[in-house]
Amino acid sequence: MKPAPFTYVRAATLDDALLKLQEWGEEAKVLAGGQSLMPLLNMRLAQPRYLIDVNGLPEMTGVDWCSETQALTVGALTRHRELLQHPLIETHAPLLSEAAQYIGHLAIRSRGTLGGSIAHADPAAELPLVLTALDSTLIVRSFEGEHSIPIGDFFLGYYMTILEPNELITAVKIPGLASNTGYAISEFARRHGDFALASAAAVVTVDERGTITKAQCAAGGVAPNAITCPAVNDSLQGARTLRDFSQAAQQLENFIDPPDDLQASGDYRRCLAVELMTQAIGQAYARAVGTKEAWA
Amino acid sequence: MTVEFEVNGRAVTVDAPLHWLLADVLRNQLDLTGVHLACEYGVCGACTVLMDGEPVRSCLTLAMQAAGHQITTVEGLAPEGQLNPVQQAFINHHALQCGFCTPGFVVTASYLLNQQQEMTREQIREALSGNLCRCTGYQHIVDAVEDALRQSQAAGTTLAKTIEDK
Repeated sequence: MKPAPFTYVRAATLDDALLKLQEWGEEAKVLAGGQSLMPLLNMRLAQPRYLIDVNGLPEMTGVDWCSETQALTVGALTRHRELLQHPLIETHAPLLSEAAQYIGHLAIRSRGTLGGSIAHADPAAELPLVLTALDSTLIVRSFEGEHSIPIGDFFLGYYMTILEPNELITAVKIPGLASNTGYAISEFARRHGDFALASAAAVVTVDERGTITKAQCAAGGVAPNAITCPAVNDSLQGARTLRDFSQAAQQLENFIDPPDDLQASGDYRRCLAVELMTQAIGQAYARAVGTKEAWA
Repeated sequence: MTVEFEVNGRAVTVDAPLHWLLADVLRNQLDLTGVHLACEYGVCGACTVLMDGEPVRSCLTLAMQAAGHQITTVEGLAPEGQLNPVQQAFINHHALQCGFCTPGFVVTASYLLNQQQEMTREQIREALSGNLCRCTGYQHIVDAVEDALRQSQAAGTTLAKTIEDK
Protein backbone atom coordinates (compact mmCIF):
# COMPACT_ATOMS: atom_id res chain seq x y z
CA MET A 1 0.00 0.00 0.00
CA LYS A 2 0.92 3.66 -0.23
CA PRO A 3 1.01 6.17 2.62
CA ALA A 4 -1.97 8.46 3.21
CA PRO A 5 -1.17 12.05 2.23
CA PHE A 6 0.87 14.11 4.67
CA THR A 7 2.85 17.32 4.62
CA TYR A 8 6.57 16.61 4.43
CA VAL A 9 9.08 19.14 5.67
CA ARG A 10 12.81 18.83 5.78
CA ALA A 11 14.12 20.51 8.92
CA ALA A 12 16.81 23.03 7.99
CA THR A 13 18.25 23.15 11.52
CA LEU A 14 17.66 21.37 14.83
CA ASP A 15 15.87 24.47 16.16
CA ASP A 16 13.65 24.42 13.10
CA ALA A 17 12.74 20.77 13.81
CA LEU A 18 12.06 21.51 17.51
CA LEU A 19 9.93 24.54 16.67
CA LYS A 20 7.80 22.49 14.31
CA LEU A 21 7.47 19.68 16.86
CA GLN A 22 6.39 22.27 19.45
CA GLU A 23 3.77 23.62 17.07
CA TRP A 24 2.42 20.37 15.64
CA GLY A 25 2.90 18.02 18.61
CA GLU A 26 1.08 14.72 18.20
CA GLU A 27 0.08 15.51 14.62
CA ALA A 28 3.72 15.19 13.57
CA LYS A 29 6.13 12.27 13.30
CA VAL A 30 9.89 12.56 13.07
CA LEU A 31 11.43 10.84 10.06
CA ALA A 32 14.99 9.59 10.49
CA GLY A 33 16.02 6.35 8.73
CA GLY A 34 12.38 5.45 8.10
CA GLN A 35 12.93 1.70 8.32
CA SER A 36 10.20 1.28 10.96
CA LEU A 37 8.11 4.40 10.34
CA MET A 38 7.76 4.00 6.57
CA PRO A 39 6.24 0.48 6.77
CA LEU A 40 3.73 1.84 9.31
CA LEU A 41 2.87 4.69 6.93
CA ASN A 42 2.66 2.40 3.91
CA MET A 43 0.31 0.06 5.76
CA ARG A 44 -1.57 3.12 7.05
CA LEU A 45 -1.18 1.99 10.62
CA ALA A 46 0.09 5.53 11.18
CA GLN A 47 -1.38 8.55 9.42
CA PRO A 48 0.37 11.65 10.75
CA ARG A 49 -0.50 15.03 9.26
CA TYR A 50 3.12 16.16 9.23
CA LEU A 51 6.42 14.40 8.68
CA ILE A 52 9.53 16.22 9.89
CA ASP A 53 12.65 14.90 8.16
CA VAL A 54 15.69 15.33 10.43
CA ASN A 55 18.21 13.55 8.19
CA GLY A 56 21.49 15.41 7.89
CA LEU A 57 21.12 17.65 10.97
CA PRO A 58 24.68 18.09 12.24
CA GLU A 59 23.60 18.30 15.93
CA MET A 60 22.35 14.72 15.69
CA THR A 61 25.26 13.31 13.72
CA GLY A 62 28.74 12.09 14.60
CA VAL A 63 30.52 10.04 17.23
CA ASP A 64 32.62 11.64 19.92
CA TRP A 65 34.81 10.23 22.72
CA CYS A 66 35.40 12.36 25.80
CA SER A 67 38.48 11.12 27.66
CA GLU A 68 37.64 13.28 30.68
CA THR A 69 34.25 11.72 31.34
CA GLN A 70 35.21 8.41 29.68
CA ALA A 71 31.96 8.51 27.74
CA LEU A 72 31.11 7.99 24.11
CA THR A 73 28.47 10.26 22.60
CA VAL A 74 26.79 8.81 19.54
CA GLY A 75 24.53 11.02 17.43
CA ALA A 76 20.95 9.82 17.10
CA LEU A 77 21.23 9.82 13.31
CA THR A 78 24.12 7.33 13.31
CA ARG A 79 23.11 4.59 10.91
CA HIS A 80 23.41 0.90 11.76
CA ARG A 81 26.04 0.49 9.03
CA GLU A 82 28.14 3.18 10.73
CA LEU A 83 27.80 1.35 14.06
CA LEU A 84 29.42 -1.62 12.33
CA GLN A 85 32.31 0.38 10.93
CA HIS A 86 33.13 3.32 13.20
CA PRO A 87 36.56 3.01 14.87
CA LEU A 88 35.49 4.86 18.06
CA ILE A 89 32.54 2.51 18.49
CA GLU A 90 34.77 -0.49 17.88
CA THR A 91 37.13 0.75 20.62
CA HIS A 92 34.73 2.06 23.25
CA ALA A 93 31.38 0.38 22.64
CA PRO A 94 32.01 -2.77 20.57
CA LEU A 95 28.77 -4.27 21.90
CA LEU A 96 26.91 -1.80 19.68
CA SER A 97 28.66 -3.10 16.57
CA GLU A 98 27.93 -6.66 17.59
CA ALA A 99 24.27 -5.85 18.11
CA ALA A 100 24.01 -4.03 14.77
CA GLN A 101 24.98 -7.21 12.91
CA TYR A 102 21.69 -8.75 13.96
CA ILE A 103 19.55 -5.87 12.68
CA GLY A 104 17.44 -6.61 9.61
CA HIS A 105 19.31 -6.78 6.33
CA LEU A 106 21.95 -4.89 4.36
CA ALA A 107 19.58 -2.29 2.87
CA ILE A 108 17.86 -1.76 6.24
CA ARG A 109 21.23 -1.14 7.92
CA SER A 110 22.11 1.44 5.22
CA ARG A 111 19.29 3.68 6.41
CA GLY A 112 18.12 2.73 9.92
CA THR A 113 19.35 4.95 12.77
CA LEU A 114 20.26 4.54 16.43
CA GLY A 115 17.83 7.21 17.66
CA GLY A 116 15.07 5.85 15.45
CA SER A 117 15.40 2.37 16.87
CA ILE A 118 15.25 3.68 20.44
CA ALA A 119 12.27 5.97 19.82
CA HIS A 120 10.38 3.21 17.97
CA ALA A 121 10.78 0.98 21.06
CA ASP A 122 10.23 -2.42 19.52
CA PRO A 123 10.44 -4.96 22.38
CA ALA A 124 12.73 -7.24 20.33
CA ALA A 125 15.07 -4.52 19.01
CA GLU A 126 18.78 -5.07 19.57
CA LEU A 127 19.98 -1.51 20.20
CA PRO A 128 17.64 -0.76 23.15
CA LEU A 129 18.75 -4.11 24.60
CA VAL A 130 22.48 -3.45 24.52
CA LEU A 131 22.11 0.21 25.50
CA THR A 132 20.23 -1.03 28.58
CA ALA A 133 23.05 -3.43 29.44
CA LEU A 134 25.55 -0.60 28.91
CA ASP A 135 23.64 1.76 31.25
CA SER A 136 23.36 4.45 28.59
CA THR A 137 21.81 7.86 28.85
CA LEU A 138 19.65 9.50 26.21
CA ILE A 139 20.09 13.16 25.37
CA VAL A 140 16.68 14.61 24.62
CA ARG A 141 15.91 18.05 23.26
CA SER A 142 12.75 20.08 22.98
CA PHE A 143 12.03 23.72 22.22
CA GLU A 144 12.26 24.30 25.97
CA GLY A 145 15.75 22.86 26.39
CA GLU A 146 17.84 19.74 26.81
CA HIS A 147 17.74 16.99 29.40
CA SER A 148 19.09 13.50 29.98
CA ILE A 149 17.09 10.33 30.51
CA PRO A 150 18.67 7.10 31.81
CA ILE A 151 17.63 4.41 29.35
CA GLY A 152 16.17 2.33 32.16
CA ASP A 153 13.50 5.01 32.69
CA PHE A 154 12.74 5.55 29.02
CA PHE A 155 10.57 2.63 27.88
CA LEU A 156 6.96 2.30 29.00
CA GLY A 157 5.99 -0.82 27.07
CA TYR A 158 5.32 -2.05 23.53
CA TYR A 159 6.30 0.85 21.24
CA MET A 160 5.72 3.26 24.13
CA THR A 161 8.24 5.62 25.69
CA ILE A 162 8.19 8.67 27.96
CA LEU A 163 9.27 10.88 25.05
CA GLU A 164 6.87 13.84 24.82
CA PRO A 165 5.39 14.80 21.43
CA ASN A 166 7.58 17.90 21.34
CA GLU A 167 10.78 16.04 22.17
CA LEU A 168 13.53 14.53 20.06
CA ILE A 169 16.40 12.18 20.94
CA THR A 170 19.54 13.87 19.68
CA ALA A 171 22.28 11.58 21.03
CA VAL A 172 23.11 8.64 23.27
CA LYS A 173 25.82 8.73 25.91
CA ILE A 174 27.52 5.41 26.57
CA PRO A 175 30.02 4.88 29.39
CA GLY A 176 33.35 3.58 28.03
CA LEU A 177 34.25 -0.03 28.80
CA ALA A 178 36.00 -0.29 32.17
CA SER A 179 39.12 -2.45 32.39
CA ASN A 180 38.65 -6.18 33.00
CA THR A 181 35.21 -5.88 31.47
CA GLY A 182 33.66 -8.08 28.83
CA TYR A 183 30.42 -7.83 26.93
CA ALA A 184 28.22 -10.04 24.73
CA ILE A 185 24.88 -10.23 22.98
CA SER A 186 23.13 -13.46 22.19
CA GLU A 187 19.87 -13.79 20.30
CA PHE A 188 17.78 -16.33 18.49
CA ALA A 189 15.60 -15.73 15.44
CA ARG A 190 14.26 -18.31 12.99
CA ARG A 191 16.13 -16.58 10.15
CA HIS A 192 18.94 -14.05 10.30
CA GLY A 193 17.45 -10.56 10.31
CA ASP A 194 14.05 -11.60 11.63
CA PHE A 195 12.75 -10.18 14.89
CA ALA A 196 14.42 -12.05 17.74
CA LEU A 197 12.26 -14.57 19.61
CA ALA A 198 14.40 -13.70 22.60
CA SER A 199 17.72 -11.98 23.21
CA ALA A 200 20.13 -11.29 26.03
CA ALA A 201 23.05 -8.98 26.64
CA ALA A 202 25.62 -8.97 29.41
CA VAL A 203 28.42 -6.68 30.53
CA VAL A 204 30.58 -8.14 33.32
CA THR A 205 33.65 -6.94 35.21
CA VAL A 206 36.06 -9.36 36.90
CA ASP A 207 38.77 -8.92 39.54
CA GLU A 208 42.33 -10.17 39.14
CA ARG A 209 41.33 -13.67 40.30
CA GLY A 210 38.68 -13.92 37.61
CA THR A 211 35.69 -13.45 39.90
CA ILE A 212 32.79 -11.31 38.75
CA THR A 213 32.53 -8.10 40.76
CA LYS A 214 29.93 -6.30 38.68
CA ALA A 215 27.37 -7.38 36.13
CA GLN A 216 24.72 -5.60 34.11
CA CYS A 217 22.41 -7.93 32.20
CA ALA A 218 19.43 -7.17 29.98
CA ALA A 219 16.83 -9.29 28.22
CA GLY A 220 14.89 -8.53 25.03
CA GLY A 221 11.84 -9.91 23.25
CA VAL A 222 10.39 -11.41 26.44
CA ALA A 223 8.71 -8.35 27.95
CA PRO A 224 6.98 -5.22 26.60
CA ASN A 225 10.42 -3.62 26.37
CA ALA A 226 14.09 -4.43 26.96
CA ILE A 227 14.51 -5.03 30.68
CA THR A 228 17.36 -4.97 33.14
CA CYS A 229 17.75 -8.07 35.28
CA PRO A 230 18.75 -6.99 38.83
CA ALA A 231 18.29 -10.52 40.24
CA VAL A 232 20.67 -11.93 37.62
CA ASN A 233 23.17 -9.13 38.29
CA ASP A 234 23.07 -9.78 42.06
CA SER A 235 23.39 -13.50 41.61
CA LEU A 236 26.50 -13.00 39.46
CA GLN A 237 28.42 -11.35 42.30
CA GLY A 238 31.34 -13.67 43.00
CA ALA A 239 30.48 -15.98 40.09
CA ARG A 240 33.25 -17.61 38.08
CA THR A 241 32.06 -20.94 36.66
CA LEU A 242 29.63 -21.91 33.95
CA ARG A 243 27.40 -23.43 36.63
CA ASP A 244 27.32 -20.07 38.45
CA PHE A 245 26.37 -18.32 35.22
CA SER A 246 23.61 -20.78 34.48
CA GLN A 247 22.21 -20.45 38.01
CA ALA A 248 22.27 -16.67 37.74
CA ALA A 249 20.51 -16.77 34.37
CA GLN A 250 17.80 -18.99 35.91
CA GLN A 251 16.75 -15.97 37.98
CA LEU A 252 15.23 -14.59 34.78
CA GLU A 253 12.48 -17.23 34.88
CA ASN A 254 10.86 -15.64 37.92
CA PHE A 255 10.37 -12.19 36.56
CA ILE A 256 9.49 -12.61 32.90
CA ASP A 257 6.14 -13.80 31.64
CA PRO A 258 6.27 -13.60 27.84
CA PRO A 259 2.92 -14.12 26.10
CA ASP A 260 2.20 -16.88 23.56
CA ASP A 261 2.11 -15.75 19.93
CA LEU A 262 2.26 -17.22 16.43
CA GLN A 263 6.05 -17.48 16.55
CA ALA A 264 6.54 -19.23 19.88
CA SER A 265 4.84 -20.11 23.16
CA GLY A 266 5.59 -18.07 26.25
CA ASP A 267 7.15 -21.09 27.95
CA TYR A 268 9.49 -21.62 25.01
CA ARG A 269 10.50 -17.98 25.05
CA ARG A 270 11.20 -18.15 28.77
CA CYS A 271 13.48 -21.21 28.36
CA LEU A 272 15.18 -19.57 25.41
CA ALA A 273 15.83 -16.36 27.32
CA VAL A 274 17.51 -18.27 30.16
CA GLU A 275 19.71 -20.19 27.73
CA LEU A 276 20.65 -17.05 25.79
CA MET A 277 21.41 -15.24 29.04
CA THR A 278 23.72 -18.08 30.11
CA GLN A 279 25.51 -17.83 26.75
CA ALA A 280 25.82 -14.04 26.91
CA ILE A 281 27.22 -14.13 30.45
CA GLY A 282 29.66 -16.88 29.51
CA GLN A 283 30.95 -15.03 26.49
CA ALA A 284 31.15 -11.71 28.32
CA TYR A 285 33.06 -13.43 31.13
CA ALA A 286 35.46 -15.10 28.71
CA ARG A 287 36.19 -11.72 27.15
CA ALA A 288 36.57 -10.08 30.56
CA VAL A 289 39.24 -12.53 31.66
CA GLY A 290 40.82 -12.05 28.27
CA THR A 291 40.58 -15.61 27.10
CA LYS A 292 39.42 -16.55 23.67
CA GLU A 293 37.64 -19.71 24.74
CA ALA A 294 33.99 -19.77 23.85
CA TRP A 295 31.67 -20.87 26.60
CA ALA A 296 28.73 -21.01 24.31
CA MET B 1 6.51 19.87 -5.02
CA THR B 2 9.57 19.56 -7.23
CA VAL B 3 12.59 17.53 -6.25
CA GLU B 4 15.95 17.38 -7.99
CA PHE B 5 18.27 14.42 -7.89
CA GLU B 6 20.43 12.26 -10.12
CA VAL B 7 19.27 8.99 -11.61
CA ASN B 8 21.70 6.70 -13.38
CA GLY B 9 24.05 9.61 -14.00
CA ARG B 10 21.34 11.93 -15.34
CA ALA B 11 20.08 15.00 -13.45
CA VAL B 12 16.28 14.97 -13.12
CA THR B 13 13.66 17.34 -11.78
CA VAL B 14 10.39 15.71 -10.81
CA ASP B 15 7.14 17.23 -9.66
CA ALA B 16 5.46 14.81 -7.26
CA PRO B 17 3.09 14.82 -4.28
CA LEU B 18 4.90 15.04 -0.93
CA HIS B 19 3.83 11.59 0.22
CA TRP B 20 4.96 9.65 -2.85
CA LEU B 21 7.50 6.89 -2.49
CA LEU B 22 10.79 7.02 -4.39
CA ALA B 23 9.85 3.70 -6.00
CA ASP B 24 6.65 5.18 -7.46
CA VAL B 25 8.41 8.23 -8.85
CA LEU B 26 11.12 6.05 -10.43
CA ARG B 27 8.52 3.77 -12.00
CA ASN B 28 5.68 6.09 -12.90
CA GLN B 29 7.39 9.35 -13.70
CA LEU B 30 10.83 8.28 -14.86
CA ASP B 31 9.77 5.03 -16.54
CA LEU B 32 12.41 3.03 -14.68
CA THR B 33 10.19 -0.01 -14.38
CA GLY B 34 13.10 -2.26 -13.47
CA VAL B 35 12.35 -1.05 -9.94
CA HIS B 36 9.86 -3.70 -8.87
CA LEU B 37 7.32 -3.25 -6.10
CA ALA B 38 5.90 -6.22 -4.24
CA CYS B 39 5.50 -6.04 -0.48
CA GLU B 40 5.79 -2.25 -0.11
CA TYR B 41 6.91 -2.50 3.48
CA GLY B 42 10.60 -3.26 3.21
CA VAL B 43 10.59 -7.04 3.43
CA CYS B 44 11.00 -8.41 -0.11
CA GLY B 45 13.86 -6.31 -1.50
CA ALA B 46 12.52 -6.16 -5.09
CA CYS B 47 12.62 -2.33 -5.04
CA THR B 48 16.26 -2.10 -3.92
CA VAL B 49 18.19 0.76 -5.54
CA LEU B 50 21.54 2.36 -4.74
CA MET B 51 21.49 5.74 -3.01
CA ASP B 52 24.96 7.31 -3.14
CA GLY B 53 26.24 3.81 -3.78
CA GLU B 54 24.47 2.09 -0.88
CA PRO B 55 21.56 -0.32 -1.20
CA VAL B 56 18.27 1.12 0.08
CA ARG B 57 14.60 0.16 -0.16
CA SER B 58 12.96 2.62 -2.55
CA CYS B 59 9.58 1.70 -0.99
CA LEU B 60 10.81 2.93 2.41
CA THR B 61 12.26 6.14 1.00
CA LEU B 62 10.18 9.17 0.07
CA ALA B 63 10.84 10.74 -3.32
CA MET B 64 11.49 14.04 -1.52
CA GLN B 65 14.31 12.38 0.42
CA ALA B 66 16.20 11.69 -2.80
CA ALA B 67 16.86 15.45 -3.15
CA GLY B 68 20.52 16.01 -3.93
CA HIS B 69 21.38 12.31 -3.92
CA GLN B 70 22.56 9.93 -6.63
CA ILE B 71 20.21 7.06 -7.34
CA THR B 72 21.17 4.00 -9.36
CA THR B 73 18.52 1.56 -10.55
CA VAL B 74 19.06 -1.76 -12.29
CA GLU B 75 18.84 0.13 -15.60
CA GLY B 76 21.93 2.13 -14.69
CA LEU B 77 24.29 -0.70 -13.77
CA ALA B 78 25.68 -1.10 -17.29
CA PRO B 79 25.62 0.94 -20.52
CA GLU B 80 22.61 0.36 -22.81
CA GLY B 81 22.82 -3.05 -24.48
CA GLN B 82 25.51 -4.33 -22.14
CA LEU B 83 25.48 -6.40 -18.96
CA ASN B 84 27.43 -5.91 -15.78
CA PRO B 85 29.32 -8.94 -14.34
CA VAL B 86 26.47 -9.79 -11.96
CA GLN B 87 23.88 -9.75 -14.72
CA GLN B 88 26.07 -11.96 -16.90
CA ALA B 89 26.63 -14.36 -14.00
CA PHE B 90 22.86 -14.56 -13.42
CA ILE B 91 22.46 -15.78 -17.02
CA ASN B 92 25.37 -18.22 -16.78
CA HIS B 93 24.05 -19.79 -13.59
CA HIS B 94 20.34 -19.74 -14.41
CA ALA B 95 19.80 -17.51 -11.39
CA LEU B 96 16.38 -16.28 -12.46
CA GLN B 97 13.12 -17.84 -13.45
CA CYS B 98 10.14 -15.47 -13.41
CA GLY B 99 12.53 -12.54 -12.92
CA PHE B 100 10.41 -10.45 -10.58
CA CYS B 101 12.93 -10.41 -7.73
CA THR B 102 15.94 -10.23 -10.08
CA PRO B 103 16.48 -6.44 -10.23
CA GLY B 104 16.65 -6.26 -6.43
CA PHE B 105 19.11 -9.14 -6.25
CA VAL B 106 21.25 -7.73 -9.05
CA VAL B 107 21.40 -4.26 -7.46
CA THR B 108 22.29 -5.72 -4.04
CA ALA B 109 24.93 -8.02 -5.56
CA SER B 110 26.40 -5.18 -7.64
CA TYR B 111 26.86 -3.25 -4.40
CA LEU B 112 28.77 -6.24 -3.00
CA LEU B 113 31.00 -6.27 -6.08
CA ASN B 114 31.70 -2.57 -5.66
CA GLN B 115 32.92 -3.22 -2.11
CA GLN B 116 35.79 -5.33 -3.51
CA GLN B 117 35.95 -7.48 -0.41
CA GLU B 118 36.40 -11.20 -0.26
CA MET B 119 33.25 -12.90 0.94
CA THR B 120 32.56 -16.46 2.03
CA ARG B 121 29.47 -18.20 0.71
CA GLU B 122 27.90 -17.76 4.14
CA GLN B 123 28.56 -14.01 4.06
CA ILE B 124 27.06 -13.78 0.58
CA ARG B 125 23.94 -15.58 1.82
CA GLU B 126 23.63 -13.16 4.73
CA ALA B 127 24.15 -10.14 2.46
CA LEU B 128 21.42 -11.40 0.09
CA SER B 129 19.04 -12.36 2.92
CA GLY B 130 17.13 -9.11 2.52
CA ASN B 131 16.00 -10.15 -0.97
CA LEU B 132 13.29 -12.75 -1.36
CA CYS B 133 12.86 -15.11 -4.32
CA ARG B 134 9.77 -17.30 -4.62
CA CYS B 135 10.58 -19.45 -7.64
CA THR B 136 14.21 -19.88 -8.71
CA GLY B 137 15.46 -20.91 -5.31
CA TYR B 138 18.51 -19.39 -3.75
CA GLN B 139 21.27 -21.86 -4.68
CA HIS B 140 21.71 -20.61 -8.24
CA ILE B 141 21.50 -16.99 -7.14
CA VAL B 142 24.24 -17.50 -4.55
CA ASP B 143 26.28 -19.43 -7.16
CA ALA B 144 25.98 -16.50 -9.58
CA VAL B 145 26.99 -13.89 -7.03
CA GLU B 146 29.87 -16.03 -5.78
CA ASP B 147 31.12 -16.44 -9.36
CA ALA B 148 30.76 -12.72 -10.16
CA LEU B 149 32.65 -11.80 -6.98
CA ARG B 150 35.42 -14.31 -7.71
CA GLN B 151 35.79 -13.08 -11.28
CA SER B 152 35.81 -9.42 -10.31
CA GLN B 153 38.41 -10.15 -7.65
CA ALA B 154 40.58 -12.03 -10.15
CA ALA B 155 40.21 -9.09 -12.55
CA GLY B 156 41.00 -6.64 -9.74
CA THR B 157 44.09 -8.62 -8.77
CA THR B 158 45.24 -8.77 -12.41
CA LEU B 159 44.69 -5.03 -12.73
CA ALA B 160 46.60 -4.32 -9.52
CA LYS B 161 49.41 -6.60 -10.70
CA THR B 162 49.55 -4.90 -14.11
CA ILE B 163 49.84 -1.52 -12.44
CA GLU B 164 52.50 -2.88 -10.09
CA ASP B 165 54.47 -4.40 -12.96
CA LYS B 166 54.48 -1.10 -14.76
